Amino acid sequence: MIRGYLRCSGRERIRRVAIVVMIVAVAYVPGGVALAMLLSSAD
Amino acid sequence: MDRDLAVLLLIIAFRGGVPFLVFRWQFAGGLLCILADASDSILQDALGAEPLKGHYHLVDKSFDTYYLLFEAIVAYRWADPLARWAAVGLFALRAGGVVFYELTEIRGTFVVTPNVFENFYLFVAGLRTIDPGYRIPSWRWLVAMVVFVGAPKVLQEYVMHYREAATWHFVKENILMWR
Repeated sequence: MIRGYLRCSGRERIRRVAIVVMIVAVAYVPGGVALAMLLSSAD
Repeated sequence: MDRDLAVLLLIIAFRGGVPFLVFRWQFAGGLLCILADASDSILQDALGAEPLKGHYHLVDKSFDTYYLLFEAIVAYRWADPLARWAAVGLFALRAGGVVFYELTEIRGTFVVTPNVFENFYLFVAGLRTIDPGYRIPSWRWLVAMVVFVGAPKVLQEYVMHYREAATWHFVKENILMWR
Protein backbone atom coordinates (compact mmCIF):
# COMPACT_ATOMS: atom_id res chain seq x y z
CA MET A 1 0.00 0.00 0.00
CA ILE A 2 2.74 2.45 1.04
CA ARG A 3 4.73 1.62 -2.11
CA GLY A 4 1.68 2.49 -4.19
CA TYR A 5 1.33 5.86 -2.49
CA LEU A 6 4.97 6.68 -3.17
CA ARG A 7 4.69 5.93 -6.88
CA CYS A 8 4.80 9.57 -7.97
CA SER A 9 7.35 12.21 -8.86
CA GLY A 10 9.79 14.53 -7.00
CA ARG A 11 8.13 17.08 -4.76
CA GLU A 12 4.86 15.14 -4.41
CA ARG A 13 6.81 12.08 -3.27
CA ILE A 14 8.61 14.16 -0.62
CA ARG A 15 5.23 15.49 0.60
CA ARG A 16 3.81 11.98 0.82
CA VAL A 17 6.88 10.61 2.61
CA ALA A 18 6.64 13.51 5.08
CA ILE A 19 2.99 12.67 5.78
CA VAL A 20 3.77 8.97 6.36
CA VAL A 21 6.69 9.91 8.65
CA MET A 22 4.40 12.25 10.63
CA ILE A 23 1.73 9.53 10.97
CA VAL A 24 4.28 7.10 12.41
CA ALA A 25 6.00 9.75 14.55
CA VAL A 26 2.75 10.95 16.13
CA ALA A 27 2.00 7.40 17.26
CA TYR A 28 5.46 6.19 18.16
CA VAL A 29 7.47 9.17 19.50
CA PRO A 30 5.28 9.64 22.61
CA GLY A 31 5.17 5.85 23.04
CA GLY A 32 8.96 5.77 22.76
CA VAL A 33 9.31 8.50 25.37
CA ALA A 34 6.97 6.56 27.67
CA LEU A 35 9.05 3.41 27.15
CA ALA A 36 12.25 5.37 27.88
CA MET A 37 10.69 6.66 31.11
CA LEU A 38 9.72 3.15 32.16
CA LEU A 39 13.15 1.69 31.35
CA SER A 40 15.05 4.52 33.05
CA SER A 41 12.71 4.44 36.06
CA ALA A 42 12.33 8.20 35.55
CA ASP A 43 8.62 7.94 36.32
CA MET B 1 -1.43 42.97 32.53
CA ASP B 2 -0.90 40.36 35.19
CA ARG B 3 1.45 37.63 33.88
CA ASP B 4 -0.82 34.78 34.98
CA LEU B 5 -3.77 36.35 33.18
CA ALA B 6 -1.71 36.92 30.01
CA VAL B 7 -0.58 33.26 29.96
CA LEU B 8 -4.14 32.10 30.66
CA LEU B 9 -5.44 34.15 27.71
CA LEU B 10 -2.70 32.74 25.46
CA ILE B 11 -3.58 29.17 26.49
CA ILE B 12 -7.28 29.78 25.87
CA ALA B 13 -6.53 31.39 22.49
CA PHE B 14 -4.30 28.51 21.34
CA ARG B 15 -6.33 25.64 22.66
CA GLY B 16 -9.68 27.19 21.85
CA GLY B 17 -8.79 28.46 18.37
CA VAL B 18 -6.46 25.89 16.80
CA PRO B 19 -9.07 23.03 16.61
CA PHE B 20 -11.07 25.04 14.04
CA LEU B 21 -8.18 24.42 11.61
CA VAL B 22 -9.12 20.72 11.32
CA PHE B 23 -12.18 21.76 9.32
CA ARG B 24 -9.86 23.24 6.69
CA TRP B 25 -6.84 20.90 6.96
CA GLN B 26 -7.88 17.63 8.58
CA PHE B 27 -4.34 16.24 8.89
CA ALA B 28 -2.21 19.38 9.41
CA GLY B 29 -4.90 20.81 11.69
CA GLY B 30 -4.76 17.63 13.78
CA LEU B 31 -0.99 17.97 14.11
CA LEU B 32 -1.37 21.62 15.16
CA CYS B 33 -3.88 20.51 17.82
CA ILE B 34 -1.12 18.32 19.32
CA LEU B 35 1.24 21.31 19.37
CA ALA B 36 -1.46 23.45 20.97
CA ASP B 37 -1.98 20.67 23.54
CA ALA B 38 1.71 20.82 24.47
CA SER B 39 1.70 24.63 24.47
CA ASP B 40 0.05 25.06 27.86
CA SER B 41 2.85 23.34 29.81
CA ILE B 42 5.51 24.99 27.65
CA LEU B 43 3.99 28.47 27.98
CA GLN B 44 3.67 28.12 31.74
CA ASP B 45 7.28 26.95 32.06
CA ALA B 46 8.74 29.46 29.59
CA LEU B 47 6.91 32.48 31.00
CA GLY B 48 7.14 31.45 34.64
CA ALA B 49 3.42 31.62 35.31
CA GLU B 50 0.95 29.08 36.63
CA PRO B 51 -2.56 30.30 35.93
CA LEU B 52 -3.91 26.74 35.92
CA LYS B 53 -2.33 25.73 39.19
CA GLY B 54 -4.44 23.13 40.94
CA HIS B 55 -6.84 22.86 38.00
CA TYR B 56 -4.38 21.88 35.27
CA HIS B 57 -5.57 18.30 34.72
CA LEU B 58 -9.25 19.24 34.53
CA VAL B 59 -8.59 22.14 32.11
CA ASP B 60 -6.19 20.03 30.02
CA LYS B 61 -8.63 17.11 29.76
CA SER B 62 -11.49 19.49 28.89
CA PHE B 63 -9.50 21.13 26.08
CA ASP B 64 -8.31 17.67 24.90
CA THR B 65 -11.89 16.43 24.62
CA TYR B 66 -12.84 19.72 22.93
CA TYR B 67 -10.31 19.34 20.11
CA LEU B 68 -10.95 15.61 19.75
CA LEU B 69 -14.63 16.47 19.24
CA PHE B 70 -13.66 18.66 16.25
CA GLU B 71 -11.71 15.73 14.80
CA ALA B 72 -14.63 13.36 15.47
CA ILE B 73 -16.94 15.72 13.54
CA VAL B 74 -14.53 15.64 10.59
CA ALA B 75 -14.29 11.83 10.82
CA TYR B 76 -18.10 11.56 10.93
CA ARG B 77 -18.14 13.12 7.44
CA TRP B 78 -15.75 10.54 5.94
CA ALA B 79 -17.38 8.56 3.14
CA ASP B 80 -15.72 5.28 4.16
CA PRO B 81 -18.08 3.63 6.70
CA LEU B 82 -15.31 1.50 8.27
CA ALA B 83 -13.12 4.53 8.95
CA ARG B 84 -16.08 6.69 10.02
CA TRP B 85 -17.62 4.28 12.52
CA ALA B 86 -14.28 3.09 13.90
CA ALA B 87 -13.31 6.73 14.52
CA VAL B 88 -16.65 7.60 16.11
CA GLY B 89 -16.46 4.48 18.31
CA LEU B 90 -12.91 5.24 19.44
CA PHE B 91 -13.89 8.84 20.20
CA ALA B 92 -16.90 7.66 22.22
CA LEU B 93 -14.65 5.27 24.16
CA ARG B 94 -12.26 8.09 25.04
CA ALA B 95 -14.93 10.68 25.86
CA GLY B 96 -16.70 8.11 28.05
CA GLY B 97 -13.40 7.41 29.80
CA VAL B 98 -12.85 11.10 30.52
CA VAL B 99 -16.33 11.45 32.02
CA PHE B 100 -15.93 8.22 34.03
CA TYR B 101 -12.56 9.40 35.36
CA GLU B 102 -13.93 12.81 36.38
CA LEU B 103 -16.74 11.06 38.28
CA THR B 104 -14.67 8.32 39.94
CA GLU B 105 -11.00 9.47 39.80
CA ILE B 106 -9.97 5.85 39.18
CA ARG B 107 -6.47 6.19 37.71
CA GLY B 108 -6.62 3.04 35.60
CA THR B 109 -9.54 4.44 33.57
CA PHE B 110 -7.33 5.85 30.81
CA VAL B 111 -5.43 2.58 30.41
CA VAL B 112 -8.68 0.85 29.39
CA THR B 113 -10.06 3.87 27.52
CA PRO B 114 -6.87 5.10 25.79
CA ASN B 115 -6.89 7.93 23.29
CA VAL B 116 -6.43 5.62 20.30
CA PHE B 117 -8.91 7.82 18.46
CA GLU B 118 -6.41 10.62 17.89
CA ASN B 119 -3.74 8.35 16.38
CA PHE B 120 -6.36 6.55 14.28
CA TYR B 121 -7.82 9.86 13.09
CA LEU B 122 -4.38 11.17 12.08
CA PHE B 123 -3.56 7.88 10.33
CA VAL B 124 -6.70 8.02 8.18
CA ALA B 125 -6.61 11.83 7.74
CA GLY B 126 -2.97 11.57 6.62
CA LEU B 127 -3.76 8.86 4.06
CA ARG B 128 -6.77 10.90 2.89
CA THR B 129 -4.47 13.90 2.42
CA ILE B 130 -2.35 11.75 0.09
CA ASP B 131 -5.38 10.11 -1.57
CA PRO B 132 -8.74 11.86 -0.95
CA GLY B 133 -10.57 8.70 -2.02
CA TYR B 134 -8.77 6.47 0.51
CA ARG B 135 -10.90 3.70 2.05
CA ILE B 136 -9.87 1.05 4.57
CA PRO B 137 -9.79 -2.14 2.45
CA SER B 138 -11.30 -4.58 4.98
CA TRP B 139 -12.07 -5.34 8.63
CA ARG B 140 -8.72 -7.08 8.87
CA TRP B 141 -6.96 -3.88 7.79
CA LEU B 142 -9.02 -1.90 10.27
CA VAL B 143 -7.99 -4.18 13.15
CA ALA B 144 -4.32 -4.02 12.06
CA MET B 145 -4.48 -0.21 11.89
CA VAL B 146 -6.06 0.12 15.33
CA VAL B 147 -3.44 -2.21 16.84
CA PHE B 148 -0.61 -0.35 15.04
CA VAL B 149 -1.64 3.08 16.30
CA GLY B 150 -3.12 1.87 19.59
CA ALA B 151 -0.28 -0.17 21.09
CA PRO B 152 2.09 2.79 21.75
CA LYS B 153 -0.85 4.86 23.02
CA VAL B 154 -1.76 2.25 25.65
CA LEU B 155 1.85 2.30 26.89
CA GLN B 156 1.79 6.11 26.96
CA GLU B 157 -1.50 6.17 28.90
CA TYR B 158 -0.12 3.64 31.39
CA VAL B 159 2.97 5.78 32.07
CA MET B 160 1.20 9.16 32.06
CA HIS B 161 -2.04 8.37 33.81
CA TYR B 162 -1.57 5.17 35.80
CA ARG B 163 1.96 5.84 37.00
CA GLU B 164 1.29 9.61 36.87
CA ALA B 165 4.71 10.33 35.38
CA ALA B 166 5.50 13.92 34.40
CA THR B 167 6.23 13.30 30.72
CA TRP B 168 6.84 16.95 29.82
CA HIS B 169 9.43 17.30 32.59
CA PHE B 170 11.18 14.11 31.45
CA VAL B 171 11.33 15.39 27.86
CA LYS B 172 12.45 18.83 29.01
CA GLU B 173 15.24 17.61 31.27
CA ASN B 174 16.45 14.44 29.51
CA ILE B 175 15.81 15.06 25.82
CA LEU B 176 15.72 18.84 25.32
CA MET B 177 18.28 19.38 28.12
CA TRP B 178 16.26 22.45 29.16
CA ARG B 179 16.92 22.95 32.87
